[in-house]
Amino acid sequence: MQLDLRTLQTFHKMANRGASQAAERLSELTDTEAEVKVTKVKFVSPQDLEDEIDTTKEHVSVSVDLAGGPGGRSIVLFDQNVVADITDTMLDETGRRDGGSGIDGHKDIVNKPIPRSAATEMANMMSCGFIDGWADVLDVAIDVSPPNFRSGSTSQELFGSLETVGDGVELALMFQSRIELVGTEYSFRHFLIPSIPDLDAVLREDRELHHGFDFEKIIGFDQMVQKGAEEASNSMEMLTGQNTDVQVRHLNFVRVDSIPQEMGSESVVGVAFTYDGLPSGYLLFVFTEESAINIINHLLPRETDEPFGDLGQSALMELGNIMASGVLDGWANVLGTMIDHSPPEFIHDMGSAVIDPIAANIGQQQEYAFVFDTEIIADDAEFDCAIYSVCEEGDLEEALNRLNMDELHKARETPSFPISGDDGDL
Amino acid sequence: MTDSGESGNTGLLSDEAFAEEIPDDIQRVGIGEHSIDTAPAEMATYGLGSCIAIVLYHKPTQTGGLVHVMLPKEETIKGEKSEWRFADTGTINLIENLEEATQSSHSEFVAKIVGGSQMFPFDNFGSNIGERNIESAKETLEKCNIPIVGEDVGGDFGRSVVFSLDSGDVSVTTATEEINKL
Repeated sequence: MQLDLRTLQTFHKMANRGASQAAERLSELTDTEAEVKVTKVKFVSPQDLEDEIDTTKEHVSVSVDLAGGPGGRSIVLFDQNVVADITDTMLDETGRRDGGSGIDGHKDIVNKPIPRSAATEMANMMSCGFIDGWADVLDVAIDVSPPNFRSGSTSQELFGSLETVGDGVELALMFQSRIELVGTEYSFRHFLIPSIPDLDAVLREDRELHHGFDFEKIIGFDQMVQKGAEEASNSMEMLTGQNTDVQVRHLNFVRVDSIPQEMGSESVVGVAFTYDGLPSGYLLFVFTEESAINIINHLLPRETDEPFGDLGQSALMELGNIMASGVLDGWANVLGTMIDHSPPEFIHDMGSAVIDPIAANIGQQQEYAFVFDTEIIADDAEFDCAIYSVCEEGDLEEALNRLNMDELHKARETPSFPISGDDGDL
Repeated sequence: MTDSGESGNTGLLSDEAFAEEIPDDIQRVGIGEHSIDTAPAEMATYGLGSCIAIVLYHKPTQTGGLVHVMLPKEETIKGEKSEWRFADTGTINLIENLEEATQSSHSEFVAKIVGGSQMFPFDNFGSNIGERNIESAKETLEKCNIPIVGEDVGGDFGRSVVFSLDSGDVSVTTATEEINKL
């Protein structure tokens, strides 16, 4: 599949339009205001899907398979304990309260026909909202299969067998949203994992590509981010003497003005850089205050009463500098390009205030951006580090086009779709 | 009455990591978003770096509005865009919406502005967007003859804002928890 930035923006419009319509349907059904809290377009591997699910909890999913439009599978996912409460609300609304869900507590709720059917109906209405939104944006008709109810705590149990993505696909595209019922603790997650061949076909009909790149090159992009994260983790290990792991790694395509919103107002400590080459952009290492103090104490010969004084700042900037070189050298090696970075800048302030100048700067040229976020965690010490990078779009397309896919395939052994899973039942 | 347009939130580390420090009963206004409401409502925006919050208040009806903008001027940006992200068009839109909500002329409004820091001192982070945001908002308010009765702008630190429609007061908090009431 050929992609360009306009296509990725279309994906974003689909995700947003679908989420708005689904929230509207949920509001009507529950008589409670529903808000779209998160909308993302991500590139995911089978392993990334595993990471999406909190395996310590039992969840419920309702999925439909799509024919036409993006194809693939649309999945609404929520906690099992939402089922009983929502069921009772729905039965109240429809005047069928006699006995309600018939459930005391939430145990085994998914095996009871009434709550199961009510939950399926609710999730199906949300799915239809999403699908109508996508159909509007793509201007196509989309048919859906009957809903499929699943329960469990792993992605295989909840997403089912994802043969719909396409055979041998290493990275799937995923549209992800979270919708909350205002004033309640209920939240619903939605995933669309389209079929790459179907999406390609529907987009091919109505687009003119400008400086496009092949979808496969996103795999190289993902590999680039992985390599950079590993290099940064190695640098951190070398300087702090602690074993570290890359815990989370995401490749997101987002609207620029949404970048600062999830950083919150809590104080964080950051080391920021600009980088220049293929690609160009901004790199930011973010530490919680506690992590920063612990790292500074590892780096300095003796503990200091003023961790964010000149000595502490300088130690953290030095660490940031070495990590930045690691990240960018890792990228340059994969891409076969040169990337230089600026001297480090120390910052200690509210999270979103730290990143908003970066969003504003990049927002002067572009509406959307690729954001890579990675989390590095120390095995035996109380510190971690989040790495954010925002790339300038034109450079990125050029860098992607330079990728040698044969070399990448040689270097890579990763699982591919379809993943196995239970097909669920009705 | 918060309008978030199409933006939504991105979720950098995880959806659950979404930090919601503002209490549920206060309307949160994100970047490129605005809100208009009447007493006793309160609205807030947090973590302003180079972004600015423009607050308008109509005392007779205890009605006000807040917009959180990211960039100075709409005309300098090419392509599809939301007017609420810019200091000039965001301010104009907020004025028009408040006129409609209060059925009053903007000559009865007062304004307060907060934010516009230069968080990073070096040139690599552009030509001081914070300062240009402040200039653009002030210029727009001046053109509309709306007096700026309070401001907490500039510097190199972040700010959070809570706007109370009861009094028209704006409380500004920094990372060091200094509070400035405008």
